[in-house]
Amino acid sequence: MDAMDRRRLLTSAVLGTAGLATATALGPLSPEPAHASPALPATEPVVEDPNFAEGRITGISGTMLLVTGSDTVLHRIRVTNGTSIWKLYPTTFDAVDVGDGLYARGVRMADGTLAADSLWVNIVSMSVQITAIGNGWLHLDHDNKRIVGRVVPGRTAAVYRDAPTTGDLSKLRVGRHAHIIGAWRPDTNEVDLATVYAGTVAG
Amino acid sequence: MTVPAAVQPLLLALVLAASARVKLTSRTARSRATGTALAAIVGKRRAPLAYGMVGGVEAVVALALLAGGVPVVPQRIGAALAVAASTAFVGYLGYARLFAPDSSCGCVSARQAPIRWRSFARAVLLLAASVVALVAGTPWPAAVARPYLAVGVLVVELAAVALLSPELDERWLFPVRRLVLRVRPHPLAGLAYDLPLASTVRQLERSPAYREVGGRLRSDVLDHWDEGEWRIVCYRTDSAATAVFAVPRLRYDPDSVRVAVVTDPEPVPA
Amino acid sequence: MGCSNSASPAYGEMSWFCCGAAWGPCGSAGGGACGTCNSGSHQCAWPHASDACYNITQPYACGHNLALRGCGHVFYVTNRCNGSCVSASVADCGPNTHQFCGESHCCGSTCGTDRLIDLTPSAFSAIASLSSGLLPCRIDS
Repeated sequence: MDAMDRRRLLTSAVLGTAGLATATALGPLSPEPAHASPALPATEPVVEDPNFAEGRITGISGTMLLVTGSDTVLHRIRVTNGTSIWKLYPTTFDAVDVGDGLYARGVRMADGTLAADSLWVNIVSMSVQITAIGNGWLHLDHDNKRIVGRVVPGRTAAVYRDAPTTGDLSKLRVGRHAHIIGAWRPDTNEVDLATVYAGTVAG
Repeated sequence: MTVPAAVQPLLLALVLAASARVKLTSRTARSRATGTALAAIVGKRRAPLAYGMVGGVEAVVALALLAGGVPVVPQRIGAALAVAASTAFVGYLGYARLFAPDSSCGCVSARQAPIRWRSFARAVLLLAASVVALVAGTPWPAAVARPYLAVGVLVVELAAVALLSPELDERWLFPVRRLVLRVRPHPLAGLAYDLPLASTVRQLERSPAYREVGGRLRSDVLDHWDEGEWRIVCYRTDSAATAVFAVPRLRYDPDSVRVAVVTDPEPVPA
Repeated sequence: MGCSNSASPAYGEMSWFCCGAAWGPCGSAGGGACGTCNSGSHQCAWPHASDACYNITQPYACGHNLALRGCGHVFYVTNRCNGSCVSASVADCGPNTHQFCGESHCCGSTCGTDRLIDLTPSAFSAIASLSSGLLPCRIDS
C-alpha cells in the first residue's frame, strides 16, 4: 500500500460512512476501549529517564541516529515508520541532519538503543520579551540573550490569550512577554518560530 | 567650563541615588541579584547581601557628592569617591562580560538587563563625569550662576544616561517602537499565510475527541493532509494503531472533531 | 499522595524548559536554582521554590497563593487535556507567573489559567508533546 492509498484508507475511516466515529462511538474500527487509562507515574520522580534522550546528532547510519548527549553520554536512537519527527513542523527522516539537536522519547531496548516514538529536532521552548518587530522577524530577549526569531510563512502561528490559534501575527506588540516554541537553526543560532503564545493582546 | 563642571556632581549624585534606592529598597531587585554578574564574583548565596552593600556604597558616594555643596566640605572628596566607584564599575562590567556573559547587569533597575555596549558606554560616561568633577573641583552650587545652562547640561546628560540604560528601554524605546508600528503598517500584517498546522493541532487538543484518546497517543503528529473542509491528522497509539483525527479546516469548532483508531499494518513511511 | 488526589491542588498552565547540560539557546541554562536541574530527569521549576524566587516570579500578582516548596519537593502534574500524570521534583525557580497573568489555555471546557509550573523536557514529554508548548494542568503535592 503506497502513501496515497494509506491516506485514502485513513480518510475514509474517519470521514467515510463507516467512519463517522467520534471519541464516544469509535465503532468497529477501534481495537481499544474509548476511554484511555494513562499509566500512573512512579511515586519518586525518574532520574535520568531511560526512555528519553537529548543531545546533538553526530552521525546517521541508515535509520539509526547517533546522538551525543549534552552530558557526553552516547545514544543510539532507532527511527521507525511509526516515529513522529518534528522539525518546526511534522516532517520526515530526510529533514534530520548531523549537527541538529534533539529530544527523543520512545522505548529503551535490551541492546541499549532507544526505539523512538517521537523525535523533536532543534525544538526550543522559551519565555521571552519581544523587543523589536520587523519584516519576517522578531527580536526576542531571553534570559539576557538576544534571540532572532524568524517568521516562517504558513508555519508560524500565534496564540492570543485563549483565542483560537491563528496565522495572524499582526497583534504582536513590542515589549510584550511571550512564550515561544520554535526550531533552532544550528548554523545561524536563530530560531524559526512555530508558535508564539502572546499571552495578552496589547492595546 | 565652570558651570558644566559644577553640574557633574549633581548628575553623579542623581544617578547613584537612583541606583542605590533600587538596591536598598526593592526586594525583587535583591532577589534577582543571584542572576547578576555579582553572583559570579561573590557567589549566589552572598549576592543579595553584596548587592545591598553596593547600594549602600552608592548612597554614601551620592551623599558625599551633595555634601560638596557645604562650604567646609571639599567637592573633590565626593568626586574622588565617584572616580573610584566609576572605575570599579567599569572593571565590574569587564569582568562580567568576560566571565559571566549571560548574567544581568544589576545596575540601576530591578529589571534584568544584559551587559552589552550600552552598559559600557554609560559606565564610561559616568567615569568621565567623575574625572571632570575631580579635576575641576567646583562645588555644585556654583551651577546656579547660570541656571539655564546648568539645567540644560544636566538634562542632556541625564538623557544620555537614560538612552544608554537597557533597563529603561521599557520606558522609552519600546513605546517608541510601538508608536512606529502604529503609524506604519505592522510588518507582520496582511501576509496571506496558509492555516498553520499548529492552529489545527490546537483546535484538536481542545476537542472532546482528543480528551478521550489523548492519553493513549505515543507519538507527535505522524502525518497530516487536507481533505476538503477537513484537515486529517494522524498519531500513533500505545497499541501501535493509528489515531486519525478529522479537524475542521475552515471554521473553529472543536466539538465537531472526529476520531477513528485504525489498526494499521503499514504506518506512514519515514 | 499522588496524581489528582490531594486536598488542595493547584490549577494552571504548564510548559517546559531546558536546564543542565544542553544544546542551542539552552546551552548556558545551567543547573537551575537548586543546582541539580537536568533535562533528562523528571524535574520542574516552581514559582515559590524559595522566598527570593517568590519575589521574582510573583504569582500573587495573578491571585495565586502558592505554597513554599523547596528543592527536591515532589509534585504530581496532570495534563488536563489527556489525563496523563508525571511526578517531578523541584529543581529550579520559575516560571515568571506575573508576566502572563490572565493567560488561559483550554481543552474543551477544561481550562488552565496562569503559568504555574515548568517541566523538564523528559517530564513534559512523558505526558504531552513537546510541540504543544502550553497546556492546562493540575498540580498535586
